[in-house]
Amino acid sequence: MQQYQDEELIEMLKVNGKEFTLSLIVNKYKEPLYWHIRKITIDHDDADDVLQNTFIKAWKGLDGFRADSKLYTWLYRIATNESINFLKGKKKKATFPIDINDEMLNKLESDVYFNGDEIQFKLQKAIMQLPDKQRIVFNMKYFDNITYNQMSAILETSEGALKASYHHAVKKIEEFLKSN
Amino acid sequence: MKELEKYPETNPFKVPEGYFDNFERNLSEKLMKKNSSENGLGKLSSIKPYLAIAAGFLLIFSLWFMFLSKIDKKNVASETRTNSEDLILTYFESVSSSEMIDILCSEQFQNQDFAINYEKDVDLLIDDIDESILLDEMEDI
Repeated sequence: MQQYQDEELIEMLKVNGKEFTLSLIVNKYKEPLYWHIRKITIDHDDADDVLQNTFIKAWKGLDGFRADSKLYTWLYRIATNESINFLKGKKKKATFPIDINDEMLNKLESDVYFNGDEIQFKLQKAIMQLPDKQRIVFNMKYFDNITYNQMSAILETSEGALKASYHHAVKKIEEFLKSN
Repeated sequence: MKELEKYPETNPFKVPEGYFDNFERNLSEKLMKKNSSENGLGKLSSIKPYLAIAAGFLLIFSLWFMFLSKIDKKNVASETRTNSEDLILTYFESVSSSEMIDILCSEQFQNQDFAINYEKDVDLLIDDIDESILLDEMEDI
């Protein structure tokens, strides 16, 4: 299936309606959004749920979508918020918030859909120690190479704050890797 | 060399086979489920006027039922009252006029609060009394 530019998709939304346009949006964004979500939720099934909810939210919001906001930014923001809310929900259900990180690590260790070696597992373990937002910033910069400018629009945070957040995250990860 | 530079920036995760190929199908199934559940609510809103009418009927029926049950209670009460009136009348019928005068003139009756208007009651009774009996009674006093 042909992939369209965001501007073309927005134009199609006006002409062809959201039913038709959503399928093209899903086709274009399912993979990048999945990987973005997967790095936050770790587990495949959780990532799948969050991704589906992301597109359902997008479907509902497409009527009110304004062209002054970029489609890419808008979708990533929905996906990030859905992921954060998913983690919050998990933490709420847990007896102790720390259980969630342990649970995610245990899952990752036995996850058949984790392709990494021992070094990559160690890095994921280090990333897991970070607070949610710092973890998201680190993943976006380190793995996806998203610019601070794009990140700023998605997370609605100043570039300066994002740079500081990434710097702290790297420092904490380095310390963890050295001591473990 | 920084510690982190030893670690690859590659994605360590993978997905089940065919996951992305089947994603649209799975999503549309979920959307259809969601839509049908929302349509369920839509159906509910379309029958809302009928529900309101039915609720109105139910309210009217309830009020009518309450009204009827009150009427019944009143009837029972008036029946009871009629029964007590009957009982009193039966009692009065069984008591002779002279006995009634004795009761009304008795010290015990006169000391009762309800005997305040006993003179009026006596007058009423006197009207029904045979004059000869009354005269006989008067002679005895």
